[in-house]
Amino acid sequence: MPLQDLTPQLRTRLSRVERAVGLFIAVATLLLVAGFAYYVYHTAERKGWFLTKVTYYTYVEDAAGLKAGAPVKLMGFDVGEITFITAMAPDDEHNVYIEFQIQSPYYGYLWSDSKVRVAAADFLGNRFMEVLKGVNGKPTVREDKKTVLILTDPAKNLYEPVAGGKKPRLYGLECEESPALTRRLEVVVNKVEQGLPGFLALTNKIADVLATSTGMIAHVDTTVVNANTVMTNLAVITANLRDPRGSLGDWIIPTNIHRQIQTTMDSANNTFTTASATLTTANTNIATVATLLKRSLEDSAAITSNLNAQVQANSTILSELSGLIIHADEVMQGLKRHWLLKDSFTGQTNQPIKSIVVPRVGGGK
Amino acid sequence: MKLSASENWSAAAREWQRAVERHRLLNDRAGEAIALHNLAHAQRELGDLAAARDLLEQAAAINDALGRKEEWWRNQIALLQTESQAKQSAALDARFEQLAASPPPPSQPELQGLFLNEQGLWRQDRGDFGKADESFRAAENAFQKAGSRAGIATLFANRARLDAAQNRHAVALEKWARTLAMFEALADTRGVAAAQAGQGRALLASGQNLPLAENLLRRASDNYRTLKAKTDLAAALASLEACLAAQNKTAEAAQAAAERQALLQPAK
Repeated sequence: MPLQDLTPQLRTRLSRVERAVGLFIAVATLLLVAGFAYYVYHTAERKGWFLTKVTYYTYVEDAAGLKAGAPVKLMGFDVGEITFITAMAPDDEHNVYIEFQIQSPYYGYLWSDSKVRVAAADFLGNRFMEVLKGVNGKPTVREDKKTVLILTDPAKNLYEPVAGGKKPRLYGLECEESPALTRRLEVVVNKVEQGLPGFLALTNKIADVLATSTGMIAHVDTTVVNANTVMTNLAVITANLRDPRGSLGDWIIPTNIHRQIQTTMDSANNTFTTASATLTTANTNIATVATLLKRSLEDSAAITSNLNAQVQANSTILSELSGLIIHADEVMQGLKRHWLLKDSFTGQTNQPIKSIVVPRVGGGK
Repeated sequence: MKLSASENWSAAAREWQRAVERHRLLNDRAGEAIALHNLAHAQRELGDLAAARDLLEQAAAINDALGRKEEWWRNQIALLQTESQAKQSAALDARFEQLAASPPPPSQPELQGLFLNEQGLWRQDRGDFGKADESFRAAENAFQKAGSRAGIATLFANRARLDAAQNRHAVALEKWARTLAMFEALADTRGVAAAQAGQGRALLASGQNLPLAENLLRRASDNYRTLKAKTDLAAALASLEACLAAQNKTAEAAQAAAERQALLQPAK
């Protein structure tokens, strides 16, 4: 509906609404802009955009685990970030060029003897960059009123403004680099792999040595046992030799034994004569005994064959005997369980005597 | 010990008397106290309650002097049982007053159960049924802790008796039936007789199935007669007499009454 078709009252009301909407949009836009400005300011402050930064550079052997935007640490604080990484020319003595910025006021810690250290950060191959505080050198940066000066000639102690030329001036630091943990582990594993055959050979040799030692110990054990007897004998022998009268001949055959041997030999001669006669008699007796023994053996054989025949004839005799034994065992077990006899089978000792008290049912017991 | 266990009380008393003398000769005071206690037990079973009480007091004195606390408690519980049996109410009250101040420790659940059982019976006799029930329940817990099946069965019997005293005959009957099963499992002859008598009395009191009540009371009386338990027999005969009278069996009731009277007369 065209505007001129509306009544004056409606037109007045509509223009008011339009003003209110315009005002609302203006306020909303202002709020949005203010919020965005605050966000930008907060982010800038957080990221140090308003801080003065000085750019340094260094060279490393390997860029593995490093990337632009990674933080640079000093004494555990994040004091800047890597801004640029690139490979050097093939004929250059260095491999990788790295630029990094250090925020105010941390560049005040970096002196001419400060170094960059690149160390392993984790087991995934990442590394981090750290700048080390100077000790004996000259400050790399000096602030003169609002101008930031950078050391350009340490020997002459010459400082020049950072933003003096077309490009900002940089300061180079030496780098101490350690490879990533994964690479170091790889080297270790390679060495272990190379050394493993030697180690296995060594363990085999140790096993052989142990087996040989076990056998030797067993032999030594036997030898020691035998040596014990030998030592005892030696002790007896030496004890005899210490005897003043212990010449070897006297010791082996003493005088009294010599006399006794003489007597014994005489007796033995007589005995042999008697024995010869006895043997003659015994020979006759043995022949008689052998005849009787043969007869007894024949009788025993007859008895056993008879018994065998009986067992063969009555095949159930063994099973009956077995059943008899089982039943006897059952009877014994039954007797053991019987109330009258079970006390006789218990092997328990008497219990210590106690004072008898039994719980009482009221009203009598 | 075997004679006591087999309830051959007169022989047991003779042997325990000899044991007392032997322990005295050997100056074995602990053994003497145990022998005195067990001699008292035998005397109590033989009905000589005064002698039993004296012997128990002697045993308690020895155990007290030797610091044998557990044995002393056994003496005291036996004294409670003896005084209760002898109906020495004043002495019993005094002893309970003294013992209740420091009851047996929880580390001795059997002694605790025995003491609480006696306390329950004492409270029941004084008409304090609520507290008696508390004591019996605590005693049952203690016996369960001690693993004493005989104690638990006895507690069931006493709780059945307590129910009967409060005219809860149905509950009492149920408990007596369980008690009987327990005593049968334990082969406790006096317990079986007590449970039979209890069942009979509960049936008689509730007025239901008087023939069964009579049968149970007769069997209980027979058992008590075999066991030579005169006091219990007299109580069972009194119940039988009442049961027979309730069935108008006057001649048999008179016979039971005569036997009971004969039992109550002092032996000549």
